[in-house]
Amino acid sequence: MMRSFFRKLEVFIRSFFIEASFNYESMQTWGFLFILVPFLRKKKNDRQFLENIEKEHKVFINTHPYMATFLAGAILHIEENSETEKEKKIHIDKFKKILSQSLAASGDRFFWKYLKPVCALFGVLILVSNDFSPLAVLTGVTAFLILFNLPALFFRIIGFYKGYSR
Amino acid sequence: MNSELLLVFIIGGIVVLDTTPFFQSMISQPLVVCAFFGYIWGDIYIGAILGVILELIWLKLVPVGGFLSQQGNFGAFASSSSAVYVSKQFDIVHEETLIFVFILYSFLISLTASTLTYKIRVVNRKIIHFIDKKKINLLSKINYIQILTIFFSFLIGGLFLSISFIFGVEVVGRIISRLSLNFRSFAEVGIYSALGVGSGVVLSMFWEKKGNLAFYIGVAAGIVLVVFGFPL
Repeated sequence: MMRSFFRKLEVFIRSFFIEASFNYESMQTWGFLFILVPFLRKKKNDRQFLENIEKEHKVFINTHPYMATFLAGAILHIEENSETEKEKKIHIDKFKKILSQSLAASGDRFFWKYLKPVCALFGVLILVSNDFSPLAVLTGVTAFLILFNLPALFFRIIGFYKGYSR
Repeated sequence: MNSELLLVFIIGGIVVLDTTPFFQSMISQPLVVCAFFGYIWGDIYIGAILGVILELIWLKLVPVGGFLSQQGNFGAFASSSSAVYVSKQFDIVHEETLIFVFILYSFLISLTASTLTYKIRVVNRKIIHFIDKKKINLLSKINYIQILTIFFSFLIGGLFLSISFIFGVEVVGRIISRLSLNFRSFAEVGIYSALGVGSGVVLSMFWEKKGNLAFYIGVAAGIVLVVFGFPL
């Protein structure tokens, strides 16, 4: 069971790397598997299990990086709680197809279309309205980074808990 | 210049990683990168002006993996690092000329960097194919793939931005130091036009269906500001 705090923390940290191996063939497939490693490690001696996982999860996946933890949590929940292999496979396929696309769409809209421009404009306004003074530059840049990263980190953390618990 | 080049290589690699492969904490955005070089190399004004103008111009760019576009972050990095370094090393009489030429230089790097991003994706695919063929267990495969792709993204990105920095200092910087004084008024118009383009981008976000119109209004507003002598 994925109960320990440190394992969840590891999943959270690994979610930062989801786009590390991004390519036009499998998109985020390997990045997503990288998030699941703490769970896979528990059964590292079960060769059959790992072969099944490789077949199940080595499929095309592309979602929003900040929302990927939600999908990872949901997949881990299914992996751990499905009673039969058939039920598990149906759920995982359905989740990956539907959830990854809808999360990508809503994430792109919220983070890239609204949050990033608004935070950047706020930072720019601080710089310009204070005549580019050194303190204003520092304040503007810090405000931009904090305003953007707080919701982004919040979504990464809460996404995993929501996905895993429901 | 060796210590500066090493710093550019390391920070450049981090900027490339932050743009898409790792974290995406926005430290690679023009506003942050330009201000950073302004601070550490002692010309905050040039760094901040470049940061504001380039941030506005590239405000609508989305760092989505599958979408290949101009890489505004890389352009901002190359132009701000070179501009601040040149302002300290060469005898530059007019900051306006320096800022305008390096805005243009950032466009050149941004366009070139979109090819670089594509190449990084290709290298990623080759690494995946190479590791996937190996007879090792799944966990090792996943970890090796992630480590190698991160390493190569850092290396390729750092090298590209270091070369852009050297070119910016040695070629663009020397050209600026030899430009005639008459170029100053032209550069002023150019800076305001670039600021106008940035304002147009902001307008077009709220006025999507007439995005082009908003762009031209922004440029026109920038030129009007110059005509009325609004100080930068």
